[in-house]
Amino acid sequence: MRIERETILIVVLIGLVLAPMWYFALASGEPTAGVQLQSDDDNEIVPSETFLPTPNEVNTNVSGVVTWLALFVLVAMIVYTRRFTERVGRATDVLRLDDAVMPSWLTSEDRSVLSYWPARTPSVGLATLGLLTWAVVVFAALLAWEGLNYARTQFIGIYMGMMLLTMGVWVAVYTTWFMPSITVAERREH
Amino acid sequence: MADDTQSTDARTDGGVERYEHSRLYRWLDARLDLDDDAFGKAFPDDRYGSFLLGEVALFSFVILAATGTFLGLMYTPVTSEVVYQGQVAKYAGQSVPGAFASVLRISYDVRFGMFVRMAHHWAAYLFVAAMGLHMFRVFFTGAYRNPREPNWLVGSGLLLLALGEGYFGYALPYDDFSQTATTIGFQMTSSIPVVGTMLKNLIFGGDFPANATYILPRFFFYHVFLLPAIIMGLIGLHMFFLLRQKHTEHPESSRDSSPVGPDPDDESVVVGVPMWPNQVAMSIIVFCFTTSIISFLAALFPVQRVAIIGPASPLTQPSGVRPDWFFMWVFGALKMTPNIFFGYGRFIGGVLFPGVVIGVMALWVFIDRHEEPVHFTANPLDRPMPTAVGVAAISTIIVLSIAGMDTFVAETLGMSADAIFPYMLGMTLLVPPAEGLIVYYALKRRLARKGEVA
Repeated sequence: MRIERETILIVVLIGLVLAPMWYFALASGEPTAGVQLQSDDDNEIVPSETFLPTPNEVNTNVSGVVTWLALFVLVAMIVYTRRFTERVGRATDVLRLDDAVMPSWLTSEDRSVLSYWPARTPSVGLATLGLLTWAVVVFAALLAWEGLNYARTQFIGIYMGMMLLTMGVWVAVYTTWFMPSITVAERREH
Repeated sequence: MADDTQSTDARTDGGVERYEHSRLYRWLDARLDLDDDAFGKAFPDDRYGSFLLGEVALFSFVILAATGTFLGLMYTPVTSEVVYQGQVAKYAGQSVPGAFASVLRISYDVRFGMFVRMAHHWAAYLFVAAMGLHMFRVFFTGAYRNPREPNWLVGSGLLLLALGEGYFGYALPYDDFSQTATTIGFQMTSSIPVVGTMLKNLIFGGDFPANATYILPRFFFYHVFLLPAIIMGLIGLHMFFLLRQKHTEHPESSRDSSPVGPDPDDESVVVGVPMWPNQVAMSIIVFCFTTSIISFLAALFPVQRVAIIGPASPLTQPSGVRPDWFFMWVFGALKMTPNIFFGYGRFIGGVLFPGVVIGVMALWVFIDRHEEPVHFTANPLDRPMPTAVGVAAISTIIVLSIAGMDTFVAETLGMSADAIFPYMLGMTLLVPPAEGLIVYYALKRRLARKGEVA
C-alpha cells in the first residue's frame, strides 16, 4: 500500500497540535501519595498492593493519552489478527464450488458463495490450541486464587487481561486452521 | 449452534446441508420457524481494521453495563453523613457523605471492587474514544452518505448520550473534584438564556450543590437507567440500519479473490465474509481483546482515587480541578471566552460554541448531501472539502483541550496563566482554520495533478 504525500501532510498537521497536547498532559501527571489502610496485618484484602512499579494514579489529562494509546494498540492487534487469519487461513487452493457441500444459510435467492477455503486442521494448529487452552486454564486458576485471597487489583487485572488475551488468540488460531474461510456476494436491495 | 459442514452423513438437498445433527436448532426451528438466511449476511472485507471500531465501542458498552451492574448493587446515592467503618485509615470512624463512603467501601473493602471500578472507568474512556475514532472513520471515508444519513444521526446521538453518561457518572462518588465539576456543568446549564432556568429545574431539580441531597439520586437514575436504556435502544436501531442497508465496502474489496465475482464497481452487490461463522469469530476476538486491554488498564493505571481527593465539601475548592479528558475541549472553550459578552461569556464558551460544533457534526449529512446512493467508501484524499473540515475539527478539539489545560501549560513553561492567555487565544483562533486551508489546497492540487475535478 503506497502512502501518498498528502496523507503524510495530514498526519504531520494533526501531529503538530497533538504532540504538544500530549506533552503538556503527561507533564501534568503529578505523583500522588498512596492510600494508607488500617493495620495491614488484619486486612482480608489488600486491593492497592502492587508488584509492578506503576503510577499510584493517573490524572484526567494523562488518562486521555493512555486511552488513545490503548485504543491504537487494540486496533493494531485487531488488524494484525485479521490479516493473519486471512493470509494463513486462505493459503490453500480455493475449493471448487461445484464440489462443495455448502451450509444452507450461505446461499439464498439474494446471496451466493464466491470463494471457499476449507479448514485444514494441521497438527501445528492442534498443538497451539492445546498450549493456549492450558494457558487459559492457568490464568483462570490464578485469577480465582487471587480473587479468593488478597484480591490485589493489579494481580487481578493482569491475570484477567492475560486470560482474555489468550482466549482471543485461541479463537484466532481456531478461525485460521479449523474453520473454513468463506466469501459471499449478496444483493444490497433485499 | 452445532454446525458440521464436513459431516459425511448429513442429508443434502441440491448441495444444501440440513441440520440433521443440531437438535437445538431443530428444537428452536420447530417453535420459532427460524430463518437461517440471516446467518449468511455478508460483512465486507476489512483491510484496515477500521470496520471493527464500532464493535470496540459496542463491547466497551457491554463491559460498562456489566461492571456498572456490579457497582450499582453496592453504591448508595445519598449525601447524608454516615460513619465510615472500612479499611481506609484516614476516614475510619469519620462521618462522610453516604455516597462517598459507599465508593470507599467498594474500592477497599469489597473483593474485586476496586478492579471493577477501575475497569468501569477505563471502559467508559475507551467507549468514548472508540466512538470518536469510529465516527472519524465514517466521516473521512464518506460512509455517512446517502442512504446512511439516519445512521449518522443515530451515532451522533449515541456520542452525546455517552458524554452525558460521563458527566452524570463523574458526579456520583460525591468527592471534592466531582462536586466542583458538577457545579461547573450546573452553572453552564443555568447560563442559557430564556430556557436556562427551565433546563436547570428539569435536569437538576434544584440548585447544586445546595440541593445535592435530591440531585444525587436523580443523577444515579439518569446514569444507571435512563441514559443506558436510551443508549441500548439507539444501539439496536444502529444495528438494524446496518443490517438493513448492509455495510459499506472498500472499493478494492475481496472481489479479487474470486474469478466469478461481481464487477469491481458493481454497488448493487456487497461482497464479504458471512456472519456465521467468520464474522462472529472475528467479533469474539474483538471482544476478548477489548476486555483484555480494559483489564490491563484497570490493573496498571488507577484513576480517580476518591480516598486521596476527599469527600465533597461546600467550603473548599480543590486545586487542579478539571473535567474528564473528553470534556477538556469544552473546558478550554469556557476558558477562552472571557466573561465580557454582556455577561454571557459562560454561555457562549460553555454552551453555544460546543453546541454549534456538535450541531454541525450531527447535521453534516445534510451539509454534504448526496442525491444518489453510495455504497463504496471514499478515499479521503479525493474529497478536499470534507477532509479539510475534518482536519480543522480535530485541530479545534485538540487546541481547545490544550487551552483547557492552561494552568498546567503555564506551570510547565514557568509562566502565569494570564501571561499565556493571548497565545492560547491566538492558537485557538488561527491554527484550526490554517490547518483546514492547508489540507484543502493540498488536496485540490493533488486532484489537479491527477487530472480529476473535486
